[in-house]
Amino acid sequence: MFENLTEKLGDIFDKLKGKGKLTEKDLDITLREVKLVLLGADVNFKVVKDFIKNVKEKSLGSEILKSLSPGHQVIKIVNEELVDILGGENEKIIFNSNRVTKIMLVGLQGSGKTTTCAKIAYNYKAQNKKILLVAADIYRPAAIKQLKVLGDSIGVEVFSMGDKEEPWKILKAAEEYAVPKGIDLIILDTAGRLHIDENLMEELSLIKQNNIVDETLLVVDAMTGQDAVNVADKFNEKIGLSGLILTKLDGDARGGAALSIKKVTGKPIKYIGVGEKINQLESFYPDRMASRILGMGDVLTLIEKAQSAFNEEEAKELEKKFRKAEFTFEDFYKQLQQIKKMGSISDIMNMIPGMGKLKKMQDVQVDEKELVYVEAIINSMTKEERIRPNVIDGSRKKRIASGAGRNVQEVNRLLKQFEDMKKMMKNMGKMQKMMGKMPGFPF
Amino acid sequence: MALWKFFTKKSKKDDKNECVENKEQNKHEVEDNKEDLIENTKEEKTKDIIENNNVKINEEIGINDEIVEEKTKIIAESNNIELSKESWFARLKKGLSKTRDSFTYNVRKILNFGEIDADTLEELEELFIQSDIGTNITFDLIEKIEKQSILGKLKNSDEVISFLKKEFIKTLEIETREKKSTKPSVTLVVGVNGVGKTTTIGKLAHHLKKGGSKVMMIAGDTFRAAAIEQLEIWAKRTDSVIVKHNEGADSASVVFDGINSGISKNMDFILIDTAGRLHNKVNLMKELEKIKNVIKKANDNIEIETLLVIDSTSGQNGLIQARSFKQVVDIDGIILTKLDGTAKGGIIFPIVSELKVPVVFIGVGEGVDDLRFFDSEDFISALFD
Ligand SMILES: Nc1nc2c(ncn2[C@@H]2O[C@H](COP(=O)(O)OP(=O)(O)OP(=O)(O)O)[C@@H](O)[C@H]2O)c(=O)[nH]1
Ligand SMILES: [Mg+2]
Repeated sequence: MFENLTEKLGDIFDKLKGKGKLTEKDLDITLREVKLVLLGADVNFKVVKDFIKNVKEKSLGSEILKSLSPGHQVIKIVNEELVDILGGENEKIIFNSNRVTKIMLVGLQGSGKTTTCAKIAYNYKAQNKKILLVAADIYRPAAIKQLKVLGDSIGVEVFSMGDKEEPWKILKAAEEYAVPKGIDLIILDTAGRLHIDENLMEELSLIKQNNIVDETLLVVDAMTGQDAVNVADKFNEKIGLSGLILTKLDGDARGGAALSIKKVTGKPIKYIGVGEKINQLESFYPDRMASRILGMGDVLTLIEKAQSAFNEEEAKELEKKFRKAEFTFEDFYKQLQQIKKMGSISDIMNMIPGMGKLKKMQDVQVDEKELVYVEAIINSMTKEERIRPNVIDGSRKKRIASGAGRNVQEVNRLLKQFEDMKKMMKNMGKMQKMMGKMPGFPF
Repeated sequence: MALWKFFTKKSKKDDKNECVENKEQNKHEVEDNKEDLIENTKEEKTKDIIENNNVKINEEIGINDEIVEEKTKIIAESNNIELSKESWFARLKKGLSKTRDSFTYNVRKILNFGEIDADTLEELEELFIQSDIGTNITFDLIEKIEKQSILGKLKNSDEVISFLKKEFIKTLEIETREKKSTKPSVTLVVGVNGVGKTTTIGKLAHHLKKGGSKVMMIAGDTFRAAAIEQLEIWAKRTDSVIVKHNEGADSASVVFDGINSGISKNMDFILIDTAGRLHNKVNLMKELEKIKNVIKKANDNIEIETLLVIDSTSGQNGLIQARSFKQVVDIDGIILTKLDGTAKGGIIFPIVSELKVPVVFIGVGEGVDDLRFFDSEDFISALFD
């Protein structure tokens, strides 16, 4: 399947290579691939559809199709859009200063509510808050016991009235119990339920009708598929949510559900669960989640690196030089330095979509050494020689070679390659053709 | 013999038994209309079973709380424990059509004007994606539909619907491996966290007990808080024997003890609950391997049946789960739970198609009776009707 967007997009970019400019049709092909990746990550198909439409509009509306690396720019927009949807205010639980703060966790069966209740308790206990866990899962066998065991393990009291009392009454009684004790935070664990179970959804409404609940958090399993939107939508509609918690992210699910539920409810994702242990609750970072959903942290790193190492102004300047064949060893040297800033050549190759695959092939080996030698040779040139290489005569060649620790043949080869390159550039009307594949790579 | 072979859906051909069954069914409906019934294909055993069944019914309404130990000479193999088809079908259908429309309805809507063009193909694509079937099978289907329609073989929604049904059934119907029959029959239930392993064991035990078998549960989840207590409640509910150690104990060692105890107590079925574990945790997966080895160590002749529980709300990760579990402990069958929700459980299509492991049961609720024998035709009909 589409486990690696990097590879997938690599293929597309390969096809687009040498075009420089993306047409709308190219854009559609790219976005089709992005769509598949999102679907493979379990983002709801409706959410995907809107998302793609949005990205397309943004891409067409901006200058990116004419930019130096349109393919990367599209992916950048995709990523930014994802982060944008996933992010937003990410405040933790806001404590009520006048009275005890009450939060409740709701969700489908098996999503991880009970464990998460205890994790939140543990988290705030460490911040010196006085916590009371309240057991209101009156249905699942041993659910109350489970909360008690967890509470005991972290030294947090668990309030329970057995499994015969209605949950809204349990919370009321818990508050009465908590106030004189100076409790800061009450965490209510509710039974797992289907969003279409009218009676059980009514049970949740009753809790909120009869109590002031500060936060209603929906707990969602990161492995959830297309149905996540139905679930989140119904819970939000019936009882009103204030936030979301995503669990089981220590697995290898891509977690597209996060995007779906965020999009549908607009509520912030407040925490993520990353393990079965009580301390494995973390803050949510939209950018990390976006990369996870796309399965392509590497490409984004590369784009960022390329951008910081090489700004577009400089690129345009170089382009002009190329066109007029004014490109010198001085410029070439600068380029080499920029490549170095981005990491080793093989690192960069790995990050370039499709390159990882190519590199495995025996005949396409990047010789890092070769570039080091080239750099050494240029280093050994005087400024004049770099700008006007035709002044380099036999004795200069000897000097350059010995300065770089290479032999004269190698110096000759480099000079010849450089001349060929310049000729080639001259012949080419539009430099974009060469620039298209990577920002700032004139070769 | 596979555990699920003890369960059958009602056979229409079995006229002779149908009479007995119907009579029996009436009785059921009078006394407890929720109750499933026991069916026996071997005539001479029928009387015995009915008697047994009566005792069970009485027991449930509190007249006779004695366990029918002496009846266990009816060996498990002679029981065909029927999971009532009517109710599962209705329930499944209800579940699948609750908040969204059925495949049939949608296909009709999409192909309103009878034309299969790029737009309708895209809408069909979305329909499949929406049920978690995954992009691979979806594109495969779309391609086939496109080709067939160009050839003029698919002209309207009816033809597309019957084509799809056929394709789906083809994917789900696979040859299953036959395992030798051992007594006790040992079933290991595995899966990621919260999918419904423990509950499913409770439901299985309930039905096996009703068939008059001796059932033992082993509390192999020694990790999760109160997991043992949870299984204990199910044991009590279903009147099964339970073997447990303390929380935090070694899971393999309780399984070892359980198997030995089950053999000496002459159990028909041993159901092993295991802790939920994410398939990418190498150590936890190794623990499952160890559990399997320890069963063999207790008795080398025992055939272990490993059932993987998959939550029907699961997305594409379900396939990766199934792959990993199959690789580590080998999976004989899949149980698809929580089909009473709105998720369609389409992830089983790529799972079955790739791993060639059959779906054997489905879960349609939290009660003891909410387990159904999986039947691919019924499942697909429920998706479509
Ligand atoms: N609606 C519905 N809920 C189910 C079904 N099967 C199980 N559940 C519920 O799902 C929740 C988790 O079930 P468990 O049986 O505890 O799951 P598990 O796999 O044993 O969980 P862990 O041992 O914690 O990994 C419980 O609330 C069950 O009642 C089903 O078919 N439908
Ligand atoms: Mg369990």
